[in-house]
Amino acid sequence: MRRPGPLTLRLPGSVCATILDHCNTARPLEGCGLLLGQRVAGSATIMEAIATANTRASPQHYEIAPEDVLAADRRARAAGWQLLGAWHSHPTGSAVPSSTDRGEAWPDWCYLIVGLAGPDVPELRAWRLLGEDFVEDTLEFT
Amino acid sequence: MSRVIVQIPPPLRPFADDAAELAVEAATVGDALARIGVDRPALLARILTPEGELRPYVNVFVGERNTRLLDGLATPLAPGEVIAIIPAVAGG
Repeated sequence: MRRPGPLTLRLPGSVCATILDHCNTARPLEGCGLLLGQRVAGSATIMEAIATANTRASPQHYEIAPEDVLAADRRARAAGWQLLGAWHSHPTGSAVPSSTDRGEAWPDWCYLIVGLAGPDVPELRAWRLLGEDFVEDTLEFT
Repeated sequence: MSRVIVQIPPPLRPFADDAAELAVEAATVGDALARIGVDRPALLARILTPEGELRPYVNVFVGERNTRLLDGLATPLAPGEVIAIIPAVAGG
């Protein structure tokens, strides 16, 4: 099994806008979706963010229907990409993983969190679960 | 027995030598999973419980159909079918 190291996540402006628009629209509930792109060694490029329904319809939890995950996986495979991870918002919190995030995360998968606690500018941070803890990755806006 | 493709999701590929998909001969979904797990016990352990049941945070699709709505691990397979292992995506 490979040993994951540091990762730089490249996020195009148009993809970032898709994520932030959906998270703002979903308020006061958590917004969520999936990340598609390419990952090679120490970097990943997000090509597309797919907005999905939050089946838990909650301000504190999110879940994506397995049918939506299947469709995104199919789309990624057809494009020669992969399902890189997921994104979701914390409508009244910071962009830091919660205990629920930790309990439900897949190891070495990219989790992008949007914190909407501040009055204006959203906070956007990227995380991966390595071992028992989340580590923060570098987000590069392109 | 049918030759089928089992698609491995990215979070589980580290337990499958980074393979995106595996081809196996199998008669049912459970049979297919058991066969890919013969040489990859860590992969199988993340899909099935020690009792051999599908873990609650994993779904297995045959084509577009969720096996939880079919016959579960006993769902029969036809030649060429694609089995997708889909991880639950959730948090708070």
